[in-house]
Amino acid sequence: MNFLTNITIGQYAPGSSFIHLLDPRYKIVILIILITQCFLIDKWFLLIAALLFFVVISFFTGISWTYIMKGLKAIIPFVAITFIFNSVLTPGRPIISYVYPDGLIFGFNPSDNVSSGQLFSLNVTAEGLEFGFFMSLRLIIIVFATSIFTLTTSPMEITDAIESLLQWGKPLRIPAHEIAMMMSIALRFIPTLIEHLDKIVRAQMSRGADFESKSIVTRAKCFIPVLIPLFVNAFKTADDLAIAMESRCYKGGEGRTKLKDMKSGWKDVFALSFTLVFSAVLIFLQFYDRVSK
Amino acid sequence: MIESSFIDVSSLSYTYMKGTPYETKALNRVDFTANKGEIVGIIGPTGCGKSTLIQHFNGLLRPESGKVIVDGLDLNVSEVNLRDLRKKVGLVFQYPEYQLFEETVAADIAFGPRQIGFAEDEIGIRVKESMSLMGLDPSMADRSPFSLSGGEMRRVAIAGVLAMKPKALVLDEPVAGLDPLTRKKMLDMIVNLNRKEKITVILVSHSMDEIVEIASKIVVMNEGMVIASGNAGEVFSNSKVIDSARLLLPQCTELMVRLSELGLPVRHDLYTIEACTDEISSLFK
Repeated sequence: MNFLTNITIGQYAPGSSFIHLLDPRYKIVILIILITQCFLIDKWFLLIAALLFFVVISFFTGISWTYIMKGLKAIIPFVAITFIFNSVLTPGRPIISYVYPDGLIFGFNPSDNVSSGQLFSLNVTAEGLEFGFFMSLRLIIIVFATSIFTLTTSPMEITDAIESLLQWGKPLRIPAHEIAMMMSIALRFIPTLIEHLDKIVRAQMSRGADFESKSIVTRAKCFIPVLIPLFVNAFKTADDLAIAMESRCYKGGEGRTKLKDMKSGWKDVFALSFTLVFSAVLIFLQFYDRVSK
Repeated sequence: MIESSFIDVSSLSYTYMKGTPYETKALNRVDFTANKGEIVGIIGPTGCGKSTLIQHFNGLLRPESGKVIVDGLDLNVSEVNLRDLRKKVGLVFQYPEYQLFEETVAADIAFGPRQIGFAEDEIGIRVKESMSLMGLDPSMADRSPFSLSGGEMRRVAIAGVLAMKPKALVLDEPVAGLDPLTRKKMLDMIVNLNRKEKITVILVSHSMDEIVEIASKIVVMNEGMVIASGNAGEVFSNSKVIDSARLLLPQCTELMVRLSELGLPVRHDLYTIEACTDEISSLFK
């Protein structure tokens, strides 16, 4: 019954590796560049190269490989769904078809003479397989990259970095501090809420609530005794927090100082330049033959 | 195994978040016995594994290694009937007032018995019974639990567990955050449940005073291990245990120790307020 505390995807793992110590602002920019690049390239060897790039980076985080993989397991269903949908729904040359009522046909050719009373058919197309493969690979790379980022960057660092990056949006009247404050409060209270949830679930289980029942109706009924106390609790916590903030004279971002100032150094510049060069090479290889033609 | 033991734990270990950087060993080869009709106090500093241990008593946690037997049910067997077990052992968590959810007090108390499948007319009787056991006025039955005071809410929550007629009641810090008078009433009610209803009580706390006041056996835990168990005299005479578990002597015992340091001829192995009062008044005879 420890399912709630076992969610590890993207959970910060403290450490002092090279990746951990990078300036979070640089890390965000690097992440954006790398993800954008993944959508620009559509050659399989370039995508594999991008994936390998992150595998290499993950070794520099000092986080155990099994821990990273455990978090990534959670996306397997999404990858599978992406792959299946793309391979079936993309129009093109069918490789395997399921035609009702004729059954499976391999290498199905539309001009073949099949029973005219065909009601329903599903085609796995060559284009679909290819596209599905690329999309799945991109999905894996993006989640992998993002989880390396969140594994090595604490939620506080992330929000500080976002606040700092959003300062650029000041002319557009983007409320940088308020957005960052809301994010950090939300992030801060996720574990608290999970903890409360876990406790309430256990308490109601002790009172005979059956969360492991085979009947969906029984399980669904058990959510009311869990959700009501959870909401009551969340509102109470929000109230307490508001009072605590006001009693410490919180009045927004104006004139607020930070405990830890973000500092960037040659390491960050190096990491960013390295990323830029790597991305430039991949994108060059992607469009090279088009340019040369 | 002795015939009269109700909960029998031997060599139990438990690790949280195995295989992650957050891995922590919560229990390390713990032995624990609670006999039928006893009040057992479990004491120890925060994070010593008390809460982890008691969650094994009603099967919220399953033994990772070691054995847990509750009233003849072996919890190591995977197909043990959890509904039966939770009927036998009522577990009341810390701050149980946060688990109330129904529109009325009576409906909330009825939740447990209804879940384990009692007939409606019996549920009504049980709700009334457990309300009176927790000293709740019958007129409260139709009020919203969220309109009650903290102490009342807690009693409603405990009544909700009592309504399932458990043979043993496990209470995690039942008096935490209560005012002195409510605290005294709560402890009296717990003793009453034990004496009159013959309910085995396991009381978890980090305050020595309340444990000594009502428990017949004390188990001291620290860093996932049981470091001492026995009656108050046996536990407190071992100052090494007290120091390593960062516990304080009961306040009245502390007073007797100070008095004897000042040269007064008093015994300092007394642990209840009554015994200490008698000892001091005997000085004036």
